[in-house]
Amino acid sequence: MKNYIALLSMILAFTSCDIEEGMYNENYDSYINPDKKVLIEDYTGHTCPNCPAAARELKAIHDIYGDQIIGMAVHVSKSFARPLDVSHAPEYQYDFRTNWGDSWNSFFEISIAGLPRGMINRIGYQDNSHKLGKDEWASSVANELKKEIDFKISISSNPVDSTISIVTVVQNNINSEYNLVVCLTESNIINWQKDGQYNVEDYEHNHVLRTVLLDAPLSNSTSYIAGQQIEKTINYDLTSLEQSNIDYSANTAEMGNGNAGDWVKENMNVITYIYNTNNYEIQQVEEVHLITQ
Amino acid sequence: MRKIIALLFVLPLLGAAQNNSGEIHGDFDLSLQTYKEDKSIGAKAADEVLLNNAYFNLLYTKGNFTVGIRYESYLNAKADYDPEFRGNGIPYRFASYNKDGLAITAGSFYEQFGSGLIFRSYEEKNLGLDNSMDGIRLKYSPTNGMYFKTFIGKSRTHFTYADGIFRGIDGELNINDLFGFESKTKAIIGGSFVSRYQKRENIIFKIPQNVSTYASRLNIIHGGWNYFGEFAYKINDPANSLSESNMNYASGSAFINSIIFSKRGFGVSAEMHRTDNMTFKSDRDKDGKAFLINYIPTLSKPHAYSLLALYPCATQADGEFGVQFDIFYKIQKGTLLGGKYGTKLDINYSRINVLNGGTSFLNDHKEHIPMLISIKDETLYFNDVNLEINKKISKKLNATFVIANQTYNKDFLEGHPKGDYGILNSTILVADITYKVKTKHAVRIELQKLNSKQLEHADELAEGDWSMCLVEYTISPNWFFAVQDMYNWGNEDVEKQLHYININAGFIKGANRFSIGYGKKREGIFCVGGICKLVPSSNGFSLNISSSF
Repeated sequence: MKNYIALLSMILAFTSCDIEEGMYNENYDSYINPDKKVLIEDYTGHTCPNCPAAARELKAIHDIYGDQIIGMAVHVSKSFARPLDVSHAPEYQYDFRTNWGDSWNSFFEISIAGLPRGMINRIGYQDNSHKLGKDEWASSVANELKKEIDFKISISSNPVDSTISIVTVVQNNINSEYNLVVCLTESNIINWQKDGQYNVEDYEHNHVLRTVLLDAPLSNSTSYIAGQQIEKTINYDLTSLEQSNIDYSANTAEMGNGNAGDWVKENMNVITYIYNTNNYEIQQVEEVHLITQ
Repeated sequence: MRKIIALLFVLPLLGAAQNNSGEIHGDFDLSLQTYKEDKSIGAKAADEVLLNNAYFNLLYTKGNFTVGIRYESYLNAKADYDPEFRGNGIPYRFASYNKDGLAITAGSFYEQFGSGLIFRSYEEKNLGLDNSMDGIRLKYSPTNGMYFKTFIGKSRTHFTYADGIFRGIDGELNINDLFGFESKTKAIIGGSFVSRYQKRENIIFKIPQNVSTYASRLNIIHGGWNYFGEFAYKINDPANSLSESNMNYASGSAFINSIIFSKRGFGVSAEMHRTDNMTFKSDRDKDGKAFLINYIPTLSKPHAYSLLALYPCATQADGEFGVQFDIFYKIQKGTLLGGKYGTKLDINYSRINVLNGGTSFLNDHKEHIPMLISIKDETLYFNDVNLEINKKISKKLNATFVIANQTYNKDFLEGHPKGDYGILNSTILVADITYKVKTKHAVRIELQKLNSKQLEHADELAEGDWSMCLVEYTISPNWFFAVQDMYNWGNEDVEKQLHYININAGFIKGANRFSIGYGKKREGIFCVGGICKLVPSSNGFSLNISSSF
């Protein structure tokens, strides 16, 4: 008899299943912190057939949350991002890879888990839960957007004298070590991309990482006080940055071909983020056009 | 905390050793491989130089009581393994007892309901796959001819657990045993139910928190006839995405049917299966083999010979329709074709194609339901027709010959865009001859040839034709030596017309087995039971030690 009761109690555990009528959710707790911004790093490649689905997910997330979502496409790995042999596949000749993308990929061990993979504010590096498949992004973004912020960032870009000024305002009294990173991305790059069963000639590559201008301590101190302002100004030379990408592709990247130029500064954005150097989590991120449109 | 739990499982083992009661058994397996760079085959060097997979199972049994643990070590995992297997640990530990028909397991367990269409928890070391459950399982057989199984638990992924919580129940009735029928016809019916709970919130779309699957099965045996059929159903299981085009609320389904007739020296079987949207994962948001919690049995013959298995068929749980026929016949000895010892023939045919119009899809803007059965004009995944002849020629000489023709949709089965590699058609010949040189000494020679062509224009160069030769010398029961060369002489890329040479030697004594090897491996697809993994190319030494007690 006792055996029957034990079995019965287990059976009763299986009660419900949720067959959904209609796809839209009308009961979602939609609180988000309007000041919090989230960086989605989409590790991708132009010969990765499953990667455009991740780019579409990033766009869908951006469409929901607007400018609180900042995307960055990081082309990595020999398998999926190298230019193909010109005699076999003359289409895939551009090299989107960068020195910085490859080094992040190596440090965070992204492409070894297969592409596409992404990081949401680089959360979870310490317990190895930072490499997320595209269907994990929405949940992670929703969690991040509920968080309070310790920093506000404002960026002003002056393309005339090639400077970028960043002002960080500390929101709370905090003690830790932070780095400030400044990158350039480029959108509206029309080039080949494998997409599922198709080779797409006029695929629009957006927010592609081009270069990193700065990755340095936010300040010399580990102590930050609410209201404190930290200012930084960076000079850049776009031509030499472009050339260094070309050189990287030609001389260092695995099976690169040096075809990494043709930057269009009008389509470039500045992305700035602050991360905690102890756990690599990105605290806050901001984005502006390199040239105000 | 986990170490303390593992210790609780180990303590009875130590106590048993002291009291000399009960039985302790175990087995050990160590596999080491060095990796050096070889640009000609695209092999990478390992930063660690040497990679390691090792397992140690320990099992203590006393009467109806059993406890066991498995220690695993990946420092770091071999290159053909999922790199998430990293470090040491005791991921498998359990205690169970069986009394008055009720078997209770607490801790880790493997389990399968029916053919596995809705639930299969198992390990396959060759694939680096282990989705063992951790939880509670009950099995109860109240009377002869009836049993129930039920469990609740979480599934292992690498050294942690997937997010979903699983609940399941399975029952089976053997009608003849249950009602005491004395009949030539036997019938066994079964049914199962599995539910996954995973909390998810989505700002736009409804996400079912509890996803249920059901299956029913029937097995009828009459003399030499055996029919088995199983049908499975899964409710809507959309991804947790914000991209509308990605939201699929279609239910899933699968069926398998097989009918076999066999008698001495003759057997025939026919199988058919269909899967549609039946990938069931332990975490809805994750991808990769590690998160699969069900299993669709493969519908093509599993080949052991290298070139026959060069282009293996990976089962598509998301959607495929396939048939397979197999005829086995032994030509009696003393006949013209049978000779002195008889001749065994095995003819096999399998064909697997895409579902009509693709997998089921349903959301508020788009609906597609593929036809139940559709073969003509559908994109082919895989086709294999093969004949195997096994002939014992004399007391000293035994030979196996295989001729096969395979069609392999490389683009689809390996996830390339259409037109990259196209569809390959290969004709393969195998001769496997074993000759007993003298008592306890035997030499085995395998000769294989594969002629391959792309059926349509493809952007990428084809691997083309291969030859393979293996010479193996065995001194029973202790030694074996083998040299193998796979030669890709027909590669369209002249620089890749390479030899892949492997040399192996082994020593077996009692319960211990040692083997060493050196060689090059080609990058390729390796499958077990239709579940496949990509094996990277490699160049290096290997050492394997296994033992049991």
